[in-house]
Amino acid sequence: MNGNNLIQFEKVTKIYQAGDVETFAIHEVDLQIKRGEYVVISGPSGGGKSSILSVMGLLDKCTSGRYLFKGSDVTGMSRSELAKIRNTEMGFVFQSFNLIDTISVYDNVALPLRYRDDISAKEKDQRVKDALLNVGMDHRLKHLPAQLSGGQQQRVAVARAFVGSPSIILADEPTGNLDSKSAEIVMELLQKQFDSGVTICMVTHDPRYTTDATRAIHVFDGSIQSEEFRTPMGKAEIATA
Amino acid sequence: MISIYDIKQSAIRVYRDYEYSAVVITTMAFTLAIALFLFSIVFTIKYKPLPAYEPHNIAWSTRTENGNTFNVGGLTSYEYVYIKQHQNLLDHFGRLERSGVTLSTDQFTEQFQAIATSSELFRLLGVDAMLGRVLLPSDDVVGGDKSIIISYDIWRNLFDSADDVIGKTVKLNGKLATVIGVMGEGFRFPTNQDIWYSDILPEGTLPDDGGWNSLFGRLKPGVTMEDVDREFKRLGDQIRNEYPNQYKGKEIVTVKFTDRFSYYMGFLLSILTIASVAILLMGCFSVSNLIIVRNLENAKEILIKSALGLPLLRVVTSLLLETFWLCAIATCLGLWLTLLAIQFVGADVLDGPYWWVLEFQMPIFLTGLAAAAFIWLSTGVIPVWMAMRQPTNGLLASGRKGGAGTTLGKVMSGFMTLQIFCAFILMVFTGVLVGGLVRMINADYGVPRDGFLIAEVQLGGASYEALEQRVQYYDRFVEQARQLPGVENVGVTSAVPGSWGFLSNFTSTERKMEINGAFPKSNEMPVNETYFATMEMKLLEGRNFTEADKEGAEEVAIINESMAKTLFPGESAVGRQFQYDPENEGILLTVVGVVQDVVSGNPLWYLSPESENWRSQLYRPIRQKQPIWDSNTLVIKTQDNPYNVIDQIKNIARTIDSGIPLYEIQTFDDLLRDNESGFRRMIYTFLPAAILALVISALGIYGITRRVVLQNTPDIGVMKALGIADRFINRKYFIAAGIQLAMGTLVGVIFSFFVLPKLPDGILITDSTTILIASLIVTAIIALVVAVASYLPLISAHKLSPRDAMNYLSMSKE
Repeated sequence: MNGNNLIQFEKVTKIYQAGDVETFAIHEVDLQIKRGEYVVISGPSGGGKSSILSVMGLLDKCTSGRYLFKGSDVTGMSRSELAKIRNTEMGFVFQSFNLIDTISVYDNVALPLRYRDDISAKEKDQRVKDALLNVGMDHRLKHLPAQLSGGQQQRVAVARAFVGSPSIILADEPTGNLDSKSAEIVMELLQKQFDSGVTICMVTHDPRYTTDATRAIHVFDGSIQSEEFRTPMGKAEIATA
Repeated sequence: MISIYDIKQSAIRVYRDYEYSAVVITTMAFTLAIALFLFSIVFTIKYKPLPAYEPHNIAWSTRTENGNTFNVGGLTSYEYVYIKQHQNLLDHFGRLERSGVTLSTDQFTEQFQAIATSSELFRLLGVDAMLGRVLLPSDDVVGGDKSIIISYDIWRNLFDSADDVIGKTVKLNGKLATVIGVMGEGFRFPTNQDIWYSDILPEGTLPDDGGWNSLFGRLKPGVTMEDVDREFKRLGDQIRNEYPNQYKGKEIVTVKFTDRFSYYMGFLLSILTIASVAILLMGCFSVSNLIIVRNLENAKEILIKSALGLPLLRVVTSLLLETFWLCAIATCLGLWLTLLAIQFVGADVLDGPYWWVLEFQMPIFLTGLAAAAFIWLSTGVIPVWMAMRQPTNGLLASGRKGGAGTTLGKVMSGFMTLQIFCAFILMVFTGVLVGGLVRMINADYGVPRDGFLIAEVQLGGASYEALEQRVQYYDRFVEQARQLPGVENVGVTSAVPGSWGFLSNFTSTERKMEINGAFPKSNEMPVNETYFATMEMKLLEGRNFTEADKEGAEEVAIINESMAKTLFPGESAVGRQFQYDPENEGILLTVVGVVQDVVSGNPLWYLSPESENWRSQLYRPIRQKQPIWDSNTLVIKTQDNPYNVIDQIKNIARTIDSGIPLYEIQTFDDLLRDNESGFRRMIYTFLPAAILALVISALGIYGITRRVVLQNTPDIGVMKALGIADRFINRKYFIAAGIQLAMGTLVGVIFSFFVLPKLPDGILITDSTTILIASLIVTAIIALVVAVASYLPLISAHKLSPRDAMNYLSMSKE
């Protein structure tokens, strides 16, 4: 195993069962994501890209295979252990923003830090304010999510994703619900995080937002159909599964 | 563990959704208040301690006969003396005997209930007098001077709260007595008495000396109530073995003092306990569902928090805190409503022994808190369980805020079904109770109710020691009262229909008669010759009493139809003889007439199968028998309003003897209404509580259904977009509600058929047909509530266009 691997899938399979019908959402996928990579996963609807992201983000368990995060096998971990990894190592950006309606912008961003004992209250406050400053939302601290536009809400969601200094940000169609201008802003924010050393893994349909990635993975019928490794300047290597 | 942030956020959420929070809080507060109020009645009757020293150790012995146990009295003076000589399980062992007495001074003459006892009573209770003193051992002298202790009410109302009342000379039943003490406010031991005096029985008391005693004492250390009961029964057996005739079929039963009085309220306690629990559960299910529905809308938020890796405990704590706020506010409100209910209607709810005063005591407060904690925890389990769900990208990617999944939907349906079940039980109980009251009000006592004035009189003292003297009093009264304008007739009896005379035994001279090992009992009533005509009672056979039926003449009796059938089945009773008081080798009485049956006491009990052995009525001519200890009722039949002659009646009594007061002057109808009062009181307490609980439940069902329909509005929009007619959409929701209704009702019907017939009283109509009819009516009412609760929210959904319906949740969010 490569010590630089952040995420390692070994023959990971995810089956959804509906009555007697079994659907292979992920089929024996082998995948490694190294620290500092910017990976985009694309493919047709129902191809399994969101399922891969879901298992990768510990939101779902795989049916078979092994998943190593930072070299540790997470497949047998308890709920609380998984929650701790999500809380400290991962950041999430969803297509539908998933901000909590009833609390302010500030509290939404502070949520991942709220119950962390390793950070002082003062630092938590500073981090939240810095994160919101970073995404240009520091002037909307006390607003409720419903009082913001879609683009603004997603910027807040991005701030929430990186406020805990995660190792990886997992983004599921982050621009899917946004107009092109807002989408550009969100992508720039993700790029900024990548530039600062955070690993990015993003699911997207839109080919416009794959250019910044260091690797592009194409998924079809639950399997990786092709992988395209790139340098920041362009294409380097194409591997076909 | 719990951060200020969590507390603040949960409070804010309760406030933000204030309309729904108000529904939850109102539902829970009223549920709690109603259940607690009903429980406070149960607590007062069953558990409230007697205000005395170590009340749980006070033993109380009375008579059991023919399967009936007297709350007070029944034991002979000989039994008391015998047990006193042989028992060693009780300290402060003593006896008391209840009787009506006339208390008079220069200023007033009044009738009261008094207790003849000894100083042991006050030592047992550990109570002292407010003024003066209680009875002391020095007062316990056979035939000693009468020293009396009066109640606070007599002192306040008749002696104007005078401090110099102590040492005052009064007349008790015409004999001089001295007031030695005034008891504190509220003291009226053993039930509702006003005078206590020393009356010590001589050692040489004989088995046939009579008496109507209750025995008391405090358990010695290490002795249980069962020990005393066993020992006294054993001593009772010894007496019975020695005097088998006098004590045939008679037992002594000993229980904790307060249990004796709560026992006969078993029926009411069963009803109230079931109602209280049903209301509490109904509220619990209703609140649970309301909170589930509320939390469904927070389901997405729970998932987001979980996805962000927030510790499960934190997510759960936050949800429990929100439920806590709702429950805490509702509990405060509920306890306050209970307090108000007890303060404002508590005094009118209970009529019983003097310590049965409804109060908001600590056990009621603690029960309220326990019930609230139960509701909180049971409703809190649901959000906790929801938080346990694993977040999935699918759920997070959804634009929906949340909704009932298959499992949660089943839980909600289950709760709704249970809520309907509780409502059903409550309504069936209410129905049969109201049915009982209607039967009671319409009961036929066998005589007309209207146009009678009745008054009690107790002849006592030296002037009335001879039977002839007492008869003269009644003759004079009847003669003068009949002359009054507007008076049709006047009669004298020891008990009018709807009340009881005194019990006596009888048997046939020709065959052995036993019921439960004892001689049959009759309700004996001395009457004068005008009584049956005054009361308009039908003489079925033979003749009425005449003035010739007097002392020295043949001992005669008129019996009712039931007694005639018992003694002489299938034969004419007139001219036949039977033995009176066979326990004491009593005299033979000759039947001169048979009259119709009338109801004695409570009509529903009297007409029930349980009272089959208590329907014999024996009438004796007052010229032959009229015990000096027994009071009599003067019955005045008037042409118009009976109260018009009340002053003239009082004047006549005063003219005949100013020292003998008439008391309890009322119409016969009022007396009969008193029979219904306990039942009425129960209904008036129970009915509003049940109706309020049902309204709350209906609101709860409506609130839940409305919220669920609103959550499903996008689905309704899709159905509308697909061209599905409104009635088909409605049908889908009605079918779901109908299934819940059917299941709740089915369980309720099974429960009713199982439980109702087992209730220990003949008051309820508990035959299968009645239960079935009650069930159908109740089902129809609940079905209406459920249908309205389901239909109203659908109207709002149908008013939207398909497009607006599909976007309803995002629209409402904006």
